Amino acid sequence: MAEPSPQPVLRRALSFGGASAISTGLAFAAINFLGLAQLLTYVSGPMSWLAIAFGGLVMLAVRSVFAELNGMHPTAAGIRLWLARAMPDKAALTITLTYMVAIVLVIAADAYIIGEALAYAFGNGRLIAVGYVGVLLLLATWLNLRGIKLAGAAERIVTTIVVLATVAIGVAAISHPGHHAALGAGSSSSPIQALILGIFVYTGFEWVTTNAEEVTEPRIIPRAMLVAVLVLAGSQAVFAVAMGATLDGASLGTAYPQLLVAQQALGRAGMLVMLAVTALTAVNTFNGGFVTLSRFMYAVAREGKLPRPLTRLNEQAVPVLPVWILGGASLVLAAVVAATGSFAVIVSLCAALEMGVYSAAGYCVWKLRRREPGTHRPYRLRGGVSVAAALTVVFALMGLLASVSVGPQFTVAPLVLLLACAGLVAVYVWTYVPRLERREAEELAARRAARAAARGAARTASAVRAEMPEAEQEPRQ
Amino acid sequence: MSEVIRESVGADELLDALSEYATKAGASPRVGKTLGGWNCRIHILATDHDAAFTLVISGGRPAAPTAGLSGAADLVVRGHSFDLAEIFWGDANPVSNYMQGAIRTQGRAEDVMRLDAMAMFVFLGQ
Repeated sequence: MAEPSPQPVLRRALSFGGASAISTGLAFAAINFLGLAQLLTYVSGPMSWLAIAFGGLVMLAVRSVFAELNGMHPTAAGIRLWLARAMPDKAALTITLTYMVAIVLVIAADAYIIGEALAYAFGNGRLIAVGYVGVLLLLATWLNLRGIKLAGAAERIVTTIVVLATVAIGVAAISHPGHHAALGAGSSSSPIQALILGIFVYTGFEWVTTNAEEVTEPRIIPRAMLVAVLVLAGSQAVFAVAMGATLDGASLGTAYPQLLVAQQALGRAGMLVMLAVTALTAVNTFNGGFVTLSRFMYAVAREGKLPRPLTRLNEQAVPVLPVWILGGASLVLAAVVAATGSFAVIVSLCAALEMGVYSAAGYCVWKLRRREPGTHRPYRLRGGVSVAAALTVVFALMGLLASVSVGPQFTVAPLVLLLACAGLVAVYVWTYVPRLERREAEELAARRAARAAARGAARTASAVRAEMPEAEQEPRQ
Repeated sequence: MSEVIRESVGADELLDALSEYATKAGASPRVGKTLGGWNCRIHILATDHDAAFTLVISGGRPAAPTAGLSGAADLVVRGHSFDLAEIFWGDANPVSNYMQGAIRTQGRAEDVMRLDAMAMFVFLGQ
């Protein structure tokens, strides 16, 4: 080519506002309200905003970690790529697949919370609540299979409504506190566990890095994460104080404390508005979690690390089996939670898994600074490897602490579930994946050999033609 | 990590590989069935030299690729010419290359997935 081609221009790109809405919306899940309720078992209502604020400060460091990794490798496969470059592939795959479980848990927990909230609002029993969960997950599965997803402006509108309505109801509740204010709340003082739950309400904001390929300006993703942290800090702090001002210990232990806050402050109408807000948070969770995770499962299967049937696409180019597995697994988990009433365990488990992922991300920055010192980094974590190493250790310890506590009680249930889950994934990765990899390598080798033979034959034919006298090359009559 | 030295594939050979790939995709009934509603303008750039191509897909059917970049792209694919050629020849799994960071994309994830699905239908006959 004589002249270099100009730089490509993208027809559609994700805007700063869109990325901010995605980051905020992914973190603003219904399970956050349960996280806030648990937080209030460690700190008193008026002081709960401090835990959220400290959590926000810690999340600014987490944001820098993800900004550095995302800047180095801006791809939807980010976490898989960063981990694979920083540690042995099998360990990376084990962490990645375990992280997927965390996303399924969040989807299941959100579905359960909405089911319980609907049942409370309309005076239904637990069985009907499970029915609501089933309908909700079936709807989410169907929408995903049809390839329908919330995009662009709609996502911004949903997130804006959720945030503004939560703040408005929170302010109203603070202005009209109930008679049961904070009875029993904050009775078990533990600043570290309060901080873990303060961090928990921000988790998921980093999923916006999977949209890194949709932006034209690399700085949009880090800035969007900053906006998300600020918006979440404000909205969650207001609602935590409101919850502390209006609910007693028993109300904090329900699966729908946000409805009770709204009911206390604004009556039934307020409660119904909060119900709608709760349902809208699920739109973001299902939109982000369902779509991202099913496509991620497809990609890992295409890579040859998950069974091949997971790559089957329908006519909307949607990976069918991953979507059904997600819907089914979420329904089963939600039903188990409903039957056992163990939603607080799910909060602890999700918190522990997220702390583990943040620890792994810190480790990636630490390791990649040494392994790939020459790689371009548009963003760098301030403090370098020492801060990255400190974050790795601190988040690992917080993950461990989160996994042995449910509310103010010490229990190893989340840790056992976590280890069981990671253990199953590890067994799969160490025993079954090598077989899949061998098959993948054999098929590729066969395709290569076939192409090499075809090219060789074509070359021979061409050489023979070149050696033939011109007259013989004429087509025979 | 040690850098793997790979041969460069020339612009003409890369265009041939892309053309062959587009032809195979156009002939695949599965591509037509599953990706029938897909319209996408793809810019493909080799990072080791200045080769760049435009592949336009209308109704799931790729037109013959052209050299150079034309129009605003829905999807941009960048990679070493050898990695790109291996994908078009069917010698490499595009997702493996993508997951390892050997090829980079810009654009919507749905388009990336459809492009990969096209390779899957063409070479794995699924």
